[in-house]
Amino acid sequence: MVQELKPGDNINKSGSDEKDLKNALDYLGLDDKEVEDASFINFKIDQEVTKKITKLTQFSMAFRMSLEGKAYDEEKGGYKQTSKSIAGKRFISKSTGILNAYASESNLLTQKDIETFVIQYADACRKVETELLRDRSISEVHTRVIFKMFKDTLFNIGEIITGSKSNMEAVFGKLDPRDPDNTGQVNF
Amino acid sequence: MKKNKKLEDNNFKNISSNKIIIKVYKDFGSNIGILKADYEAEERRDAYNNLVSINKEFLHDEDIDFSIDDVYHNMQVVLEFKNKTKEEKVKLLEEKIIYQEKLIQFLDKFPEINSIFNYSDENLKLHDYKLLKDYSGNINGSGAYFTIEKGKRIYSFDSVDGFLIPIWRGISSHTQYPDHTRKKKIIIQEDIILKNELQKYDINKKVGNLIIWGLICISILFALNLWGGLRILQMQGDITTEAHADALKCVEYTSNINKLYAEAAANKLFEKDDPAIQTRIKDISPKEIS
Repeated sequence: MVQELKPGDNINKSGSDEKDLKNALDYLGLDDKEVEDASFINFKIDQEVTKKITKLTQFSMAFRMSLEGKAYDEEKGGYKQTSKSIAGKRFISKSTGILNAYASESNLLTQKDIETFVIQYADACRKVETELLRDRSISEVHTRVIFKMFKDTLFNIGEIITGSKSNMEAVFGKLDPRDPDNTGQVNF
Repeated sequence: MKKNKKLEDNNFKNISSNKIIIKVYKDFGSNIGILKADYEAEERRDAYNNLVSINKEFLHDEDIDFSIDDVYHNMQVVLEFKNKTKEEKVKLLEEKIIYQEKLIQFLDKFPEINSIFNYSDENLKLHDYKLLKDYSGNINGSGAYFTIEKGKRIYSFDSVDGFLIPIWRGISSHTQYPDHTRKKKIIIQEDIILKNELQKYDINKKVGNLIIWGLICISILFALNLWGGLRILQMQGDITTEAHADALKCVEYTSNINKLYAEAAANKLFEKDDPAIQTRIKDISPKEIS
């Protein structure tokens, strides 16, 4: 039988965090081991990464984890649940699904054309924006942040799958017009 | 008795008319709704065959078929509401709300549990439970979303954050409350984005329309010019034929006069006094004013 929760009722009854967590897990019918397993995802990020395939996977993974409220733990070498999620499960699965289509290794083999990618980029952003507006679980505060995160992640993926860095000028224009050496390289 | 019957007839005369009255209420920090707007709207079907009410002056474009949102419909099925009484439904939902509130407190305090329960989803679920509790507590079989005044249907709405929430009026329970479980028009925002998007492509359409209109204008002007030219030609022809006839008459007269004077001169010359010529001279001489 569920205990009645009065207004202003404090859940820190025992005074210690560990005991409170145990009480909470008992109340929710969860097991310690189960929570521990679910709150940690083993995924190693190589800091000196040169392989394009690993980079692609990282971008997609980082986006998903930040939406779920997980941060990278360097000591353990994986993502750990550190805060609340900022989007619902439905939105997370949909947006990462769209990202994974671009973060697939097959795009490297085909070497995507920049013109085609620009159209796909705009289309993907529109889809996610629509989903953001429709999703009732996402608060207004997070809407812009999530959309910007998605755009940046896709931008980074686009750099790899289209082959060269300067190709992305077509999407955002030349970021630094004052190029002293006139080398044509964009300074990010 | 007859009078009452007449009154009733007049009262229900225009109910089937597609002209309805919209009343929008708003709570300005009080428990009592204050009438914010009151206007007439037209009831019609939109492109997707949904029943909507439209008033262009007040920018009113709202659904009035008031179908239940899928979320609340599904919740009713999952919680097995069909075989439960009103009290049982409310009790069950109260328990769910307490559980949900506690869960959210735990999620706030211990982020580890977020890996199993999604904070955003659970928060939304709590909101939905609360709405469904209000709905289950207030709703009763008989009632309507409109009232009838002076033979016209009046739909009342509660204005909340830009959304118009229809107000339900129960008959047997004597309740009147904004029903938040109905579908809301969240498409509006998308429509704005889509319209902005489509405006980019409108330039080509506009240019195309201008070219077509230009061609139409040119062809009309050409037809007018052609008609005018032909008309002028015809008028010119008429004038010349008239002038020609007059000229012929003049020539005839002149030749007659010349002939006459020649004959007269000949008579004078040869001293002949032809009476026939004398009468003809008299004929053409200016007549005396009688």
